[in-house]
Amino acid sequence: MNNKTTCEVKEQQPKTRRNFIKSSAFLGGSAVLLSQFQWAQNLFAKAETSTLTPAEEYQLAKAESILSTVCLQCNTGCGIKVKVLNGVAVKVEGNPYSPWTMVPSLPYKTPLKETTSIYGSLCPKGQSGIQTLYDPYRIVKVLKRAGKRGENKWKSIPFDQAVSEIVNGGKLFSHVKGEENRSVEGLKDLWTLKDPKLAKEMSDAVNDIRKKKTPEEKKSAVDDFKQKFAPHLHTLIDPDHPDFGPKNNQVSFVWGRLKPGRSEFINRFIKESFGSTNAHGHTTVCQGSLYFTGYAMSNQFIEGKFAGGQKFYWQADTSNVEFLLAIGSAYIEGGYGPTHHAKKLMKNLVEKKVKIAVADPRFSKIASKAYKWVPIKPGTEGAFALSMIRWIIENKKYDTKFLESANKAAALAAGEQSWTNASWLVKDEGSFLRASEVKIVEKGPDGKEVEKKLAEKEKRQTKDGKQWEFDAFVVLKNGKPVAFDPNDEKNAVTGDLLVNTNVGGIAVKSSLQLLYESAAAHTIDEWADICGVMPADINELAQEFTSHGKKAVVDPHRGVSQHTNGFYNVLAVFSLNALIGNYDWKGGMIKLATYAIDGSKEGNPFPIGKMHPSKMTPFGISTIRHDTKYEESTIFSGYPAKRQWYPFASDIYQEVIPSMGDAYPYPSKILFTYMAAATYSLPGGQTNIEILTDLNKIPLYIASDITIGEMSMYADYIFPDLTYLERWEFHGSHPSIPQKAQPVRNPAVAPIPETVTLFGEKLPISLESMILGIAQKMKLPGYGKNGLTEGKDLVRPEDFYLRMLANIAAGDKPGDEVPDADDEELRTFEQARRHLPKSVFDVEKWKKIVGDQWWKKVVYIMNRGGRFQDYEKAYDGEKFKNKYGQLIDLYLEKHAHGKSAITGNHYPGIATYVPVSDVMGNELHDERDGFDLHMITFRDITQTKSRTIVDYWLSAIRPENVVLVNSVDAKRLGFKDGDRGRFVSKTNPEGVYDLKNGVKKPMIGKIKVIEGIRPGVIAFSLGHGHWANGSSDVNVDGKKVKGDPRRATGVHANAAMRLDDYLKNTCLLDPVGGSVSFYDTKVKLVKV
Amino acid sequence: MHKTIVDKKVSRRTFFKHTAGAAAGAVAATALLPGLKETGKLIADTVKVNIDNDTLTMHNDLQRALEKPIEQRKWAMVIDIRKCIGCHGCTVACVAENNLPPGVTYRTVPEVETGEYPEVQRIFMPTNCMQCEKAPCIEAANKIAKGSMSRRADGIVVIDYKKMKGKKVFEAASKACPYPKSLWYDEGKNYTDGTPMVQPYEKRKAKEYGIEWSRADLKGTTRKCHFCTQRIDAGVLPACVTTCTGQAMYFGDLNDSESLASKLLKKNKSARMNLASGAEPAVHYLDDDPEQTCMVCHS
Repeated sequence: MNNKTTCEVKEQQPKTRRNFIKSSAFLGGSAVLLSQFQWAQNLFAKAETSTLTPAEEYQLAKAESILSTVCLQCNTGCGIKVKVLNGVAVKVEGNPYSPWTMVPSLPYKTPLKETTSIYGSLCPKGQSGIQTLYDPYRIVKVLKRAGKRGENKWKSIPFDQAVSEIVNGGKLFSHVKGEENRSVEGLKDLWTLKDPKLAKEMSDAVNDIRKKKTPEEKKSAVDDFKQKFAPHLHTLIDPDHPDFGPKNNQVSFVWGRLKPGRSEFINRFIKESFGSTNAHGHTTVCQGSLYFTGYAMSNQFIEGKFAGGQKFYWQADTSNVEFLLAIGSAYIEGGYGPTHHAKKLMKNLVEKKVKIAVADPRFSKIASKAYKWVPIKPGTEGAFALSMIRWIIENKKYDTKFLESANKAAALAAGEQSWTNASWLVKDEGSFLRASEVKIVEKGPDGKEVEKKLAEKEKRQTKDGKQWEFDAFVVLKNGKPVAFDPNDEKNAVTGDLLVNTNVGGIAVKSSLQLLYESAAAHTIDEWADICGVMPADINELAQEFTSHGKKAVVDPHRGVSQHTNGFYNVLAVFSLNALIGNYDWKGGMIKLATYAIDGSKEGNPFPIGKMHPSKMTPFGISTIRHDTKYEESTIFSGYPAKRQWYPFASDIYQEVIPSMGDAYPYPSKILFTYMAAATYSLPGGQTNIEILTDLNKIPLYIASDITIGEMSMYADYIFPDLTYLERWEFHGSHPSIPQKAQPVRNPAVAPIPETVTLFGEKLPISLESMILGIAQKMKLPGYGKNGLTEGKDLVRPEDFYLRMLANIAAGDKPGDEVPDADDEELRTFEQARRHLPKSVFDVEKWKKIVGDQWWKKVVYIMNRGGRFQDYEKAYDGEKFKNKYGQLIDLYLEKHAHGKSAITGNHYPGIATYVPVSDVMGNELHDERDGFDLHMITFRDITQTKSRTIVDYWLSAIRPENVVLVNSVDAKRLGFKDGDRGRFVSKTNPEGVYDLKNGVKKPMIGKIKVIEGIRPGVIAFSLGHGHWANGSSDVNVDGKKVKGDPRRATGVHANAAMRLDDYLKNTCLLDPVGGSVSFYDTKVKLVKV
Repeated sequence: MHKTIVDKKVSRRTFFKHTAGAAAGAVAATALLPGLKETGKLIADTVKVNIDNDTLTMHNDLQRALEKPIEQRKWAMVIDIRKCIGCHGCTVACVAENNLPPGVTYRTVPEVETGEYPEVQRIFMPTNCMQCEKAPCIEAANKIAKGSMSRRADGIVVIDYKKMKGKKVFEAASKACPYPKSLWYDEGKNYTDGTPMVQPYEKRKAKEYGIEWSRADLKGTTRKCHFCTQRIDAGVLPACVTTCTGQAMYFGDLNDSESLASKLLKKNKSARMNLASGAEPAVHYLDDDPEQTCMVCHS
């Protein structure tokens, strides 16, 4: 075995404490860790014999016992203070500088010493964080599979051995029965295309192929390609399909929850240095269709096309909103945090400053604070929004001034910061009407009538100095067509709003007219019937919504987006908000603002994205077929395609493993996952298990994980990772935080995994060291000495992250820098880190990385747990200052031209009610087969999806989750409170998770009979029902490690969620926004 | 049967602004627990920022109270149940702060659903030891184990862990207590018992009643909420108060009419649980109609 000396594992002390050594691969048995704990425990022992401290002395409020960082028990990102005693983290508090935990937060310039005994809010998950850190089932060494995939037999191996095997491949599993002769390709075998210049040329040539319209033209272009790149065809997956890209693409890196910093670190590795296009996130399992509706609506008209959309969404400014209608949005259970939402809304509620209404099939906790609960039918949220749109348009309660503004100049003149395309004219075929198409008749100088174009096309220069032709858009103003430029800041153009006419012989409608027609597809009574609500509720809510000026919001979240119609549901809700013009207003719809980490702002010291000596341009269709059209590919062969294509979404989690299973569009060879639990968190995740256990589909699988998790248990290798309390990250912000913010996660305690030496540096095993180890072994460009640029090494995580911190310190432009930490703060900074080993904290090295100019500013930020703008700076009077400030697309031209790769049908361009259906467009009626209960999920405050089950303080509150059933259904089905029922669905008639290792975990839950759920709907909360993560026995190094039954309690019924009849190995999904469907399955509850 | 008596009938709360920064900086506390040194230097600073923030206001109220002799302080907890979202953050914050073992939860938040679909309501009711002025548990406990329970000069009911050992005294005190879930028996267990390793945070010493206790010291003792004496004596608000996500939890000195706790009681309708017991609890509940809310469970 290749086991060079570039890395070594240091075992500092022999194993002594036999009583708790079960396996040296676990936290409980790590020699390194043991020594660390032994040291801490000796201190405890010493304390026991020494004199007691004075009563008033409280160690936990001393500045040198406290480090500021950021929570990651869920994705909200609350600022935290970690209190450390004798090197051990013992208590977590809210960080008062963070707008997440204190409202309003402390002014950023408040001296640190004044804040040591001031704490903000944290939810129970945040309070339990140290149990995620000190989880006895954490792994501390690299594990290699010793049995079949999923069999949970492991051996611990040296880090360097693992890296060598992954890089070199070979007969790696000859010790496993049936795999004696199986040889796998290593990373070096798939790193075929290495020349960035050649990659760029190939990428451009592939783009030319895509543009060819007919199969003949395409074929000929492929032939040209093969001729041009003849010496390099071996680098491609398939020379007949150059658009698959290079073999590099057969290596994928897929992640669960990933935040900035680590995101750049992973992308540098897999895309920029290794050159694979397959780096995919998990957005669609969260609320993808929310993000991708935001993306679609934020496209701007740039140099001739709609582009530049941001993957984001708006949320209500909960500090200032006067009327809040929450649709499928559980502010005080999930939805980015109970902390700040609860603080803002509860205060305003008792002060009678806000009225809350809730549309949700479940009586959520926020419903308990609302004046009105509308138990809507799941999947009809878009219909509900359209019914309100109809009411508002017919009652003329919309904000005419806002909607009439067709361009930036008009918006500014109207006192607005953003504008819409409500007045823009659209042709029948779906395109916007352009001025060059409109013939008008004018009297010439000679008095004769001449026909001319409304406006001629105009030659303009792109940013890069190329030419493009501007063809103006058109509105109707007082019945006459007017040409305009959407980005024009000088010539204000407004347009009539409800237009249905002919312009010069061309039939046109305004965007708002199209929206109205979509809303008028049904009467309010019909809509009410579809949604299962009272028509009076719709009228009342529409009336209330339009009675607070701009301080009203209809706020959607997962309950709206995680349906097969998620995209159009969200579009309907965001369009509804546009009717009252609440975007960029205090108390209206706001967006997040952060300080950039990548050095892209003026005056930033370290442009990290550009600091690469040999940056690759990955190209080719991704394994999940995102950002690309089926029709443009070389495998287009009519409809239906084998699987769906996603021109309007990315990070389509449910496509990753099933597409590898179908080898569509091409086979995969090596899979990396980070913090991923797709098998658990995805609806129908059991189909992923089947594929992961198939060695032919995924020949090599490497996981980075903290425990042996629900997905990583199927890996060939698991690299231990650091928890959020031991590592770096930048959390970014969320739309409901009005202040500009950049929370900084940084090591608060000594790392628990073993130490390795890479590039001559001692590091704990982690995601970063896994990548650095591979990079060192493969000699990947962009790492090691001068890895960033001349004189700037990339040998440690801090080489990367501290420079990002310096960028945050520099701010948006010169003059925006944070102050320097004073001497006292510098002292506190070091003292508070005196328990950290050199492998993660070395003050002299750190100073050198950022340089003297930035060091004190970096400390200033770290002492405060991030950079946070003061509350009042987020507003300018009634206007929201961290504004969106651009065009909001209500009509989506690109989508109107887009097609489903399965049906070949065009997608709607405007908010539309699309009934829940499979990818073929067929509506589902499983209730006709006896599946009489509509199953939904919800978030219990004590659990995040897949990881918080390790926190015993939380499971003490909620030892198992429950299945909520309305008393009417319970009576009908003969269930009593506390009975147990098995979830059975059309695509899971057995009601089990088949773990493909001989175990089938039944989906049986405890029933709770309540009133607060719509009859016919049942709900279970996410986070329980585990089968890994310490919940079941594993075998490591020949020893059995007993699982903890407390971690296996409750039910996780995702495997009952409906699979798509056409795709078969994938759950129901939204073809446009990419979301998985969590709320469209009908089940039976079978009494156990 | 618990009977609720509404303390005050005041019209609906109107918005008022709390300005922080009124109090002077930290000075030595002149009287603490008997036998404690007067250092004062460890007491937290007053925060001097002018923002409308209840936590800061309470923090400064606390510093002001600590300047007075201990017998002049009258601590109270004021819980606005309209703002409680049942997140259980307080429960876990308390467990972490006091390093509580399994089976001991000083703070619980029961949840009750009322009404019939679709006219449903849900109430969250945080509860803990009420630090009663006439705490019946003290007498009951002292009958079994002399000196095991007493009342501090500032009203906090304290336990002497060295004396309050065994089930007998626990049961006697529990029986005397007019409230549910106030007293807990420490079985000496750990959350990570039975896993590959009992974790270090569970083995740490935690400070209660001015003394650092090991887990072994506390096995077999009676445990209960003490308003986080280790924190308040050092000028830090109780753990449940600072962590409360809905800002439902208030703490302050009722002898100080300028304290936020006093002001809230003055401006809102409030109730205390089971006043009929005569125990005079120091935990108050705010609501628009507290009597009716209490009656949901206690009628």
